[in-house]
Amino acid sequence: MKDKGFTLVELMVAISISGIIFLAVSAIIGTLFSSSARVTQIDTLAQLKDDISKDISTSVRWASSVVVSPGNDELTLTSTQGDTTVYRLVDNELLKNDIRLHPADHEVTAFSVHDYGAGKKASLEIEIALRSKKFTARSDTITVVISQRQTEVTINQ
Amino acid sequence: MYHLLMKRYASGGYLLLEILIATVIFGFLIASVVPTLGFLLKRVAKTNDDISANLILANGVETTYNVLTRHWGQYPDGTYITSVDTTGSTPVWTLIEGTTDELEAKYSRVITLSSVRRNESTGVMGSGLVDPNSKMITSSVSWKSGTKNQNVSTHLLVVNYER
Repeated sequence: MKDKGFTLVELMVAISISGIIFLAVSAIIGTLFSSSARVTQIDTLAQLKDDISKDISTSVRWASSVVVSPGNDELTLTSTQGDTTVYRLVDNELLKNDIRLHPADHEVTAFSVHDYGAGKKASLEIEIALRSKKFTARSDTITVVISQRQTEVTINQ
Repeated sequence: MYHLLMKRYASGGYLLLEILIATVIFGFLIASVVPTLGFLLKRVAKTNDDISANLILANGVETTYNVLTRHWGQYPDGTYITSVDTTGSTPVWTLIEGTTDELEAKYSRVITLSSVRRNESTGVMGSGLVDPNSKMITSSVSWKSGTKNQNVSTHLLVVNYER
């Protein structure tokens, strides 16, 4: 041991220890980043579910006429002022009068509307399947039921 | 200690003690971030559950509202579950007597119809005679979040305008 250098064994031990530490640290950092990305994705999807269901609910509830297309994939609402609003799915984008109801990095893979109101005031069951474009595993399906109102009501929540 | 320090300077490498201290500091840093992430994940799961529960809650009210206004006076006070009646030419909502409806394997919903009493002269709700043209829908959804029991409920007053 007169030489000042390291032996091959010392070097190998040092390299393997640094390797293990490096692997452990990169695994921890990777987990931290992916968890925070996951939180953001779930949050965005939850927000979207809430926004879309509220938007359609309000429009249907107070519409003067509600028409569901024969293919159950298009919803046309007419307000008391005579304005029409059309909800439909085009190329995995849910459009309200041709304006997208969700951010560009998300897509709607299914949109179906059924009227169970017996031909009187509409009572719709709407199914919407949403997913993130980047992380296709992050998807969710919501079912929204909305009944067209007969007149003003009071909601206490 | 002096001896140790001298040795460190002489050799130009790190002491085991220094590496240990560095590892411990790094460990503390990581340990301080992990609980925050855990909290975030829990909060996100809770928000998700709340949104789903509120949708189920509202869906119950909307369905009941539709059935009630179509068949005013046919449903006595009690608890009901909602269903789609497919026996006719077109499928329609219907109410079936029952207590709790298990939905999405996680939520249980109870829909209650109750009579509304109104003061005969003022029409104020609370006491007086039963108003045959008013009904109160109460929808309540409960679920388990971890070990905690969660519950949301809402009311909707339905007035018969086709009397």
